[in-house]
Amino acid sequence: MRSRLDVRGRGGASRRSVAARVGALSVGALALTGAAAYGTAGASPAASKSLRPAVSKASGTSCKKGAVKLTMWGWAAGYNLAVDEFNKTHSDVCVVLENDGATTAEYTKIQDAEKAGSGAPDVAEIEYFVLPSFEITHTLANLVPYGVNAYRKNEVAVAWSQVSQGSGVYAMPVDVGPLAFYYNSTMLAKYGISVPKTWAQYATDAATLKKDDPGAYLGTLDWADSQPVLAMMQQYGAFPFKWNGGSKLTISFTGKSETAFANFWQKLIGSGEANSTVDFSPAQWTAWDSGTDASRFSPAWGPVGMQLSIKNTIGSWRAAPMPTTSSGTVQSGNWGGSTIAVLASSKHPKQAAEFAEWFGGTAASWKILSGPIAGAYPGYKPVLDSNSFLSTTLPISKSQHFQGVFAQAAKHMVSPEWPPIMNYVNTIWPTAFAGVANGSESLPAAFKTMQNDLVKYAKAQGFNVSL
Amino acid sequence: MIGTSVGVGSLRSAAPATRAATSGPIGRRARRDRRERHGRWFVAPFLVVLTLFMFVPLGYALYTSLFTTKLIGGTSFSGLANYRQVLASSDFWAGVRRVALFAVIQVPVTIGLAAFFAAIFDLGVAKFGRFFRLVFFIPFAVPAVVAALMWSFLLLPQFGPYTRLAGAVGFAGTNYFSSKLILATIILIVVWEWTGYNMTILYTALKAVPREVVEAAVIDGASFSRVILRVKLPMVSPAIVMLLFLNLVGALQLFTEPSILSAFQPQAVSFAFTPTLYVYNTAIGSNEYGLGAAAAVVLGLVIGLISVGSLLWRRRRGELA
Repeated sequence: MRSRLDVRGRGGASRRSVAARVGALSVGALALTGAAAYGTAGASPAASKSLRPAVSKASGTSCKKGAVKLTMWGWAAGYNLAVDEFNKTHSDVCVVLENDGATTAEYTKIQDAEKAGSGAPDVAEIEYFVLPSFEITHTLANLVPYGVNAYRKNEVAVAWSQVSQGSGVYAMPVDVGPLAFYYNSTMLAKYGISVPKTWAQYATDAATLKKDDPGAYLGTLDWADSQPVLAMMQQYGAFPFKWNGGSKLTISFTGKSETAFANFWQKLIGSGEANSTVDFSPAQWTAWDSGTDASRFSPAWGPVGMQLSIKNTIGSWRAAPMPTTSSGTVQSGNWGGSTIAVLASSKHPKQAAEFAEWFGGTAASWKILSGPIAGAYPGYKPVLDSNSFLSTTLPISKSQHFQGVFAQAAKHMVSPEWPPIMNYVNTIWPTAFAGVANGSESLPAAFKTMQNDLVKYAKAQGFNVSL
Repeated sequence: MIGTSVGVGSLRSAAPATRAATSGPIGRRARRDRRERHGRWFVAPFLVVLTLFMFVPLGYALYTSLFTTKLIGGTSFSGLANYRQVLASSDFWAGVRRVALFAVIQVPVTIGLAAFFAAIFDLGVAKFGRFFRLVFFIPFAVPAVVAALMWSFLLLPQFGPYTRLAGAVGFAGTNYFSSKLILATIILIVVWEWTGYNMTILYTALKAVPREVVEAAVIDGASFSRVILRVKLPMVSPAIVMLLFLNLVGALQLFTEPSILSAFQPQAVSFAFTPTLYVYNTAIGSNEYGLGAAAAVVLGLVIGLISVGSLLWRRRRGELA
């Protein structure tokens, strides 16, 4: 079981939340068949995660008398340890952690509780991309009155801007998922390919590799998953949304840079120079481990899980900065990461904010969160910049201090402005992109479908949509 | 369900007795009134539950379907706009057509297989009949969620054990979750789940056929197949017709299997793959509760029409009083 726990790491994978719930339901019956097999495959690490005994064991059950009791919903591994630490060191507040499903499962539950008018938690783990969807419904409390701005200086800019809206701050950042080019150095050396610095060079390298070995690919992308694709678009300077809290929403899947991005990848897909296996499927792990795929665009939480899912190529993988559109620049994108938000319906917003700030922004909490069980990638700079963190190594990358590459990426991101309609985006995304991988639909055509559907939906939702 | 099928038989034999009682002398009338008053108390719990869990949610769905909630602008009465949108939605109707095709294949295959095995077990020609009846019933005891998980693992592209097996006999590289095969795969899963259940009901019905009838047929020189096709199956046709409609309604509500598969094979199952998925994804996925409620009402009406149609048909055939 262990091997699949961290596979997904801290990625935002809303469409896999069904898998999470399914896993929770069926693990008993299927310990030896379905669930286990999927686990090995890594298709539902969120499921395995939510099954961690450590998490399901309720934390904070021994609240002191007179302490303010707060309910927290969260699913990430190791959060319970940090909650325990908080409870141990705070006598006036007591947090009870409940696992109410990962990502979308939890968000749906929060929405339902809000609709019903009761049953919502005081604090909840919420991923960056879905914060605006909760901001627009006034579900989250503004933490500024509770002193959250004092924690700003310790957080990477991309994390802070994603929790901010205007002068308000609606969550405390925890971890982030900056992208790096993570490659099989043995394979690149074999084909005489140097690490691509620009996207133009990446395309040339992909063609070279294809010519030398028709069965191999330089890289792979799962187009049916919104999160990595949007992170890649962000990195390319082609993030398709703009929103700053009002009724004005920009959607531009068919804008200039978005179209350039789509054309770039369509060319690689069309000529068979880019692979597109389903993320975290057995096929994908095998492709990386058998010399089929030479690299991946890995989020910072990627290597830990990958190391547990591959065998033959451990020790060969190195991190390098992402290729960029123009040489000499550093530009990354963010895939995954979570925040702790306080719900506006909480009866104890002060204490809840105090907990959220402690959880995401103190050394005491990060000692646990960056530890081996939680393994969260810090948006918290005192850890991110510390020598002990930067000198970490993993067997998958041998002696390379790869964390430094991700740390640099974390500081070179243009923050995405997530739209308040991410639920809808994620709902229609797999359908819109279904044909891209097998070639029955071009990427620009999928972008066009997204554009039309989203504009229609956003207008029906009352937004003033600009392109 | 087993209760129902047994009930059909026993109701029929009980009917004359009931009729005799109601046409009794006038003197019994007072007693009957008292009995009916007591009867109300017996019916009350059922009515309370029926109201709480059927009428109230139905009313709420109808009510919700008349409103539209916008992220900018809030909730407002929108009349039949949601219904117009559902009726005009090509996604919704594509889903309806898909489940109709699903039903046209899945229902006859399931009932055909069930009838075949029920007849074999009923004749007692198979060794270890009791054991195999249990084995056939086991898939029904497996929750649909687990069944879908299990099959999506067994048929996993490249790595599933059955995929490898099929590859070894010349079907290498088949993706059972491609857009072409996904419906066939779901049919396979559902047939696997439901055949044993249907078989058990038919087996019970077959057992209720009087021995003398079969003996008479055998004495007259009827072969095994003739006894089954011409004597036994016609006598259990009420059970078969009932199963037909139950399966049909179930097929139109197809949800669990595709929604589980979509978690692992997101590209195979679109958000409006079946009408129920459309309802779920519009209400939960895109927060259009009114639209989802309207779609649910439309789907409910379609299924209601089929159910009423089945009742009328069965009544005309004289199966129901």
